Amino acid sequence: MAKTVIKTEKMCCQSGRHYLLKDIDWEVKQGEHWIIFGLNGSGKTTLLSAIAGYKQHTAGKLEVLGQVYDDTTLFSLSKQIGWVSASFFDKYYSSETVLRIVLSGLFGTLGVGAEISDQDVKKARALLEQWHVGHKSDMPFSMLSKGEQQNVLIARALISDPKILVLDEPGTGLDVFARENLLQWVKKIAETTDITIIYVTHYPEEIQSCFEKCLLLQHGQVLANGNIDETFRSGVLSNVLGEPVMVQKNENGLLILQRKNRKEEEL
Amino acid sequence: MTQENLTLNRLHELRERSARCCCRFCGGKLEIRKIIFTGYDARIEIFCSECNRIEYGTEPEIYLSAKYFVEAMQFNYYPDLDDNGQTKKMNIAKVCDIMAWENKHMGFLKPEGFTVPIELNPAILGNMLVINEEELAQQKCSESQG
Ligand SMILES: [Zn+2]
Repeated sequence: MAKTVIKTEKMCCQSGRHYLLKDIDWEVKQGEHWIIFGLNGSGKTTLLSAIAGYKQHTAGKLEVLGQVYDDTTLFSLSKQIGWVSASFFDKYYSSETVLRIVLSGLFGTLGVGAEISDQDVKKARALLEQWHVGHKSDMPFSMLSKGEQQNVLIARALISDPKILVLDEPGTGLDVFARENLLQWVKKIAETTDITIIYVTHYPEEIQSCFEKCLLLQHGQVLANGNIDETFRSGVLSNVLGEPVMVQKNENGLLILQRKNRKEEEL
Repeated sequence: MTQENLTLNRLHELRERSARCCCRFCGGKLEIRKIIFTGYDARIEIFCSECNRIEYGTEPEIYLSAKYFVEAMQFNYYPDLDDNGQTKKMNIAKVCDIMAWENKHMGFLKPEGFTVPIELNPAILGNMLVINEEELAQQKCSESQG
């Protein structure tokens, strides 16, 4: 039986009197591929930040790879999670050079220290080449296009050979070809490795057939959680989105979300 | 080494560096900051408030040498970028990295500083700020009180 890699029980994140997340019960097994779906402000990024060790929950329980975060486990756990989140890292990395950003993934920190070996630098440069940004290694992050920035963050996530890959709206801001490449890469990782994938999106067309599980969030709470066929359904999604929608699969197996018109509603 | 010791070592190293080293880009003073406000004390980084960036820093002697090299030799690693103050800072930081790498591999530089006495060429030294041990101790003392 597969090991549990993420477990939350009644987990809350509070900011002042406001709950960013409330009573989150969720369990993820090794090798599973999850979609997290919800509108802006539903708590998706907060949940991921907590899982990746960049935000502390305020109540309840959070276990990652069988351990809880504290000052002694923080970095060893954090570096086993490849976290790609432009909305989070943008704030800290705008003037940092691309190579250093990738190297920081080795330590689960934001900055890099003296521990970097020549081998680490070679690995980082090879990853940047693989993601078509090798020629930008010494440039500041802010000078790259959105697509290039996303590739840098993916290289950062991969450098530590993570057990869990957390992709926070990775398709946002990408052109059509870059998004296609990204989706193909995610599919390949899902099909050929044992890495657990958590993929956050609010674009249903990014939900590929390799995703078998889904967590739906609304106002910081879990609305549905389980097999995607049972959770990503018209009724629940209409509730999440606040208007009647219909879920269908196209000929490629991708999910399509459509607004229901009045007539269909009446039927 | 236990995980606890690793974390404590990192905190100690960052504190020492922030007191001793300077920014690779602007040569400015570094400070310890909790950039992400979590309850985890370990989530601290070294920061240059002048550049508003996370900055591990370099030895002041290396910064001065790199700055001199870029200015005197008109070194430019970024010929495609505009020739402005920002590009100059990026060039100095690049030379700092190269010099630090070389010094480390020659056995002159460890994470805790130079292993040999450094005698900088006076032309490079310029108006370098020299902090003696007493001042360094005072600085550490005021930081720990703060
Ligand atoms: Zn600076």
